[in-house]
Amino acid sequence: MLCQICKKKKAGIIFYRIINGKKTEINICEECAVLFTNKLSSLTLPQFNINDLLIGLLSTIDFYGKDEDVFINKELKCANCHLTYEEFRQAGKLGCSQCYRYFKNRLKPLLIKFHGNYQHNGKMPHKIKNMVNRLSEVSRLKKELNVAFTGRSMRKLLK
Amino acid sequence: MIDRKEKILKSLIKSRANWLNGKGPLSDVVVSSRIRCARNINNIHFTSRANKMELEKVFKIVQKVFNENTIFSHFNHLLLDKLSPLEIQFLTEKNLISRDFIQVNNSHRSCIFHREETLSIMINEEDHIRIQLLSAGLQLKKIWKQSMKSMMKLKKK
Repeated sequence: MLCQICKKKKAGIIFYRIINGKKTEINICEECAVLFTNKLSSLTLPQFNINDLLIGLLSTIDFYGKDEDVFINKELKCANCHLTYEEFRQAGKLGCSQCYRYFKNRLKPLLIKFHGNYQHNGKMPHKIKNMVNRLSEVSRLKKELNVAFTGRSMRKLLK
Repeated sequence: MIDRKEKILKSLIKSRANWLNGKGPLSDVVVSSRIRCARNINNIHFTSRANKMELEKVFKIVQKVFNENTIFSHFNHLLLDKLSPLEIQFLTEKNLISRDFIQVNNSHRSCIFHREETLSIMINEEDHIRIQLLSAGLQLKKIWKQSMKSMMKLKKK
């Protein structure tokens, strides 16, 4: 792709800017990038932005991910704050704690890329600690049961 | 506290942050350590989706803790809506608030900070509450413990 400013050289740098939730992308060459950054004020100098990183990862998952559901169900919405998955992809921000529940399948690969795991194992408020532990125990036992059941079915089939 | 805006800003101009004293461990190679903790209050939309009432609710919850707790006696409280762009820029340069805090267009944004400028709490930034701790040199473990203590005080309320 050619640089969108000079339209001569090959673009090697991508600038993402999010203003009021709207994402704009500019592909530019190294020389134009220097001029471009000089024009920006000290407040808007490109710096590490976690949302940009998140948006980048989300687009990677959409392009290369094997989860075809991501393409099919883009109208997926959080019933609590009414944030759509598409809006989340654009802004890189979730709207409420319930969004984690409604976008669970789509967030999983993202969280694994970010943290290596999709489940929080660290510090948590004492009030919910017991409840969370109980839920994860139930989930673990369900998985074990599933594995045991599949194994048993397999053994039956082999007989 | 908020009425004393001018006084607070004037004292900030004169003072130098404690984390800039260059006396911390390994200060020959590490200038400062910083930890930021983000927390959101249950059943309130995150700030990007929250309405004015919800943002006000967050603000009031934190303000109540601030007013009622003696550990905040050495802290100052500033409402960003009452500050000029220059004053906000000044707080950013002092590392008391983040650059993102200027850009988010939320109402009821405010900042609570220690007089020594080592601890600051941003209310209604990208998260409902963001606690930031700074110290001279390499002291991550120490300030992590301090941030947890502050967080526990807020949680109890």
